[in-house]
Amino acid sequence: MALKAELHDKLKSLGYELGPFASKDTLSAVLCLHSVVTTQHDINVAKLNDLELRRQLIEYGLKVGPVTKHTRAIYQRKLLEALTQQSTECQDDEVEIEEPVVRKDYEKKSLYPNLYDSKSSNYSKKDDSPIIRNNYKPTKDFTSRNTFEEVNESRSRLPTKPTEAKKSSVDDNQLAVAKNSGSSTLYVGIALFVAIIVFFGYLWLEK
Amino acid sequence: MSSSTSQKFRDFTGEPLKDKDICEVPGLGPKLAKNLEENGIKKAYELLGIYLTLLKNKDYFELWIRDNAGANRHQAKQCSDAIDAFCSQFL
Repeated sequence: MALKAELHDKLKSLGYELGPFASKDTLSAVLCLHSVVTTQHDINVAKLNDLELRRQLIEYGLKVGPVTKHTRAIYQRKLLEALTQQSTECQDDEVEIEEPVVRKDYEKKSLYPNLYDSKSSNYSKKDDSPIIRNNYKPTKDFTSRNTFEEVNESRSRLPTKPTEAKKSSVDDNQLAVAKNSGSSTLYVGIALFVAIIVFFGYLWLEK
Repeated sequence: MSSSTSQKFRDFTGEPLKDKDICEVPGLGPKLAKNLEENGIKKAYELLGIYLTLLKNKDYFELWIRDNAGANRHQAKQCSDAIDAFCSQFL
């Protein structure tokens, strides 16, 4: 995941320390919103100190606790979201396809239902990403990222992965079906065997 | 009615945290627990502390868990539900 490491490094150099498992989409969204905010609002969210960050968030009406080492990254993201009225919460990275949990559609409500009007213009390449996720649907929209070319490059690499994910999911489904039919035939076989033994025992007794 | 809660959940919310490890938090399996431990978080009460620092905001806490433990949305939700239930019981 060299791309993810690059995004992390870039964010770190700016002053964001997102968690190590933040998805690529999230990282690139933060990068993009940071540049939007620094140009439009002239606030460098990364360089705000803890108190300033807290004050800004309260100004935007968010109820926030103390800004500590752990909570700083979350509050930075929230401030970016509040300033640009867009979400940094994106789809998770692709996961290995052995999920035992049935996923529901969690993205039915947007995070800030009152702040969105109608959907703003879609980022064109985002339409490719539904192929990757098996059950998720994209609900968050981004304005075009023309200002951030590197993010465009990173997005173009995504479509190469979906085919592998799909194939392995199909294989796993077939395996599961085979296993299920295998166990039921086993039960049938055992029942037949017992029946035959009983039958022969009866014949032998009746002799 | 405990049909929607697992044994792990009942164990977690039924008694004080004391010195429980991260792996005993519902939603966090061994892999996620290991991820958190590598980040320096070893005990369940540390997670509780982060939840309280975020002013018991379940959404923010789920974001944090997803970013720092590599959890998916379902696991993060289980975790935040459990910690929230614990808070409403014991705090």
